[in-house]
Amino acid sequence: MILPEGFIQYAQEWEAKINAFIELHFDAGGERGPTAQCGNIHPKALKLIRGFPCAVKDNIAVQNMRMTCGSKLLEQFRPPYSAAVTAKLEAAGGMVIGKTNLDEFGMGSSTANSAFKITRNPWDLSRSAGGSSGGSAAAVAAGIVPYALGTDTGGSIRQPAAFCGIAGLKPTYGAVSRFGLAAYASSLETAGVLADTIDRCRAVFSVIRGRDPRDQTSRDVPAAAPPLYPMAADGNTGAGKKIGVLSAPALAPALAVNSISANNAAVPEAEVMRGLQLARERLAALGHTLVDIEIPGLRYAVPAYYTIACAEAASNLARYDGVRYGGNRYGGRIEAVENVHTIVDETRRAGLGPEVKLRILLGAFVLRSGFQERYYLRAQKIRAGIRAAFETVLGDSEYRRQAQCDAILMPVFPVRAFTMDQAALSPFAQKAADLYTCCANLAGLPALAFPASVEGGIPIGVQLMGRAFAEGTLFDIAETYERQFPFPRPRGYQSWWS
Amino acid sequence: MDLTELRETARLARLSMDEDELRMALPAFEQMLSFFAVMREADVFGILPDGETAETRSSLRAGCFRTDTVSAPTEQDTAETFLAQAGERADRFITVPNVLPESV
Repeated sequence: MILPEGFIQYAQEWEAKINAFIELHFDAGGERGPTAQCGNIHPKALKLIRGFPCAVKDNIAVQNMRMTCGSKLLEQFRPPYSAAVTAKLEAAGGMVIGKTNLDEFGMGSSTANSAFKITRNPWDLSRSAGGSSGGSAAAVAAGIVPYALGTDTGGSIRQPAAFCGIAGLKPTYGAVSRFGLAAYASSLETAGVLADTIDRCRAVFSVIRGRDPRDQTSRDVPAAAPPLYPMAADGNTGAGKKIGVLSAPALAPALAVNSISANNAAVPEAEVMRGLQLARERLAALGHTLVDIEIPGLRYAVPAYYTIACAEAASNLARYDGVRYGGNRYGGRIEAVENVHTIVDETRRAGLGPEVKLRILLGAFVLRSGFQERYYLRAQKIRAGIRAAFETVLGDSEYRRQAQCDAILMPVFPVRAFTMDQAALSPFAQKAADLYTCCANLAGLPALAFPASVEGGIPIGVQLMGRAFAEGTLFDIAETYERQFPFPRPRGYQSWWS
Repeated sequence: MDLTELRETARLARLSMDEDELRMALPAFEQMLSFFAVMREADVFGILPDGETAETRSSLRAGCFRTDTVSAPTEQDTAETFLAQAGERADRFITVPNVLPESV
């Protein structure tokens, strides 16, 4: 790989400050690709990927690199193959230079739940880079890589992207193969992109998407879905879209319930609402039509989301039993035990962190005999209701019904990047604050976060949610915004990857 | 919710947690359960749980998820790659701890 002169020192200086990587190499091999496996790549996309370094969240497999998932239990695990998404990027000439920090198994909103390190925000080192893809977001925001892969189960790409002032795409569920991802909540999570510009975000998504026989939930884009790249010869067709806005009055019913049980954690701070309002005004000035909309049932979204996520986590993480994964490599060898249960118990006791244990406990509880109807089944019904409510506005995934709006504009997180002081936002408050992000996961819809403005030296992100497989529409709208209001960069940022 | 219930849940989840750990986890656990309780107010009458759409049911009835085929790995013998993951090994065998004390 040919790196620009001075880049390695630049990257090392940033990394010493922000702790974005669990593993980092500047010798990722010679320039490659595109190879035959990369399929038909749009020429514009190839230009933004080929020969550029990238980073991969450490719960996505990259052959010959460790895959810790931010957990002591997998500290020494090296996957014998690459995930579909990383293999596709490498085939297109992308070069993985490192694995990025995350909350253990993706469970958290700050990377504070990583067993190894806490990632700092390049805009202000006393603040969180967000999570769980905090390492990927910080690495892109600092200019160490132009883009990175992440995963999003309830906001884990969009929230750190918003905290760090970059673009973050959570694709439609099924648009991108999950083969090679460490499963946390299989029905909610998807791999996605964090990037320095909308153009690059679109390019990377165009490469990683597509049906994969190794992931039964992946599928091809419906024929009626809008194209990923604008068809018009003169470029972007993003102008003149109809955008629904989840404004303060529309959110009030959801916040009223949340405020009782979650200490106002989901109520947006004034700066975030100002950022949303500014985005609204600017989008209107760019020729889009903005209308207020309501989504019924939002008040139940976060409880339903955590019920389902924890239930799936309890099931998925059962594989970490010290035999199949997390064997006796960590913590010394177990010399002799009375039975196999000791191996399982000891591995999980010492290998898993408190937040992961809490979520496994919750998941095991809601799936217990006698409780399923009250929790898990009810959550799945609420999920179906929320999906239907979003489809009423955005149209269905099969493109049979007319849509009322092309996209929905909403906040990403109720606060800007919080300080790393534990009192800043308690673990419970961080969960309740997932209100704005978890809806896209419950409904399986794409959502794109991008920086709307900077308030008090900290970026404010907003997100656009779209119809299933309409990522192209979201990119088109965000690109009209970015063209007029280029994304901000933190002090000390240098652009190496234009 | 009390410690006995939590202890039993931990056992079912294969989490070996001592009394101190359980006691520390209890408040966060109870807080989340009371958060979940909000779902009781939701009117879900007549709604099918998500994932049980007519489409998935008919696909299951048809007896196939999909007709894709996965080609077998051809590039290399993957056995060695997988064996390399073993904590301890003897040749092509993975060694595991004795499950019985030697005195038995």
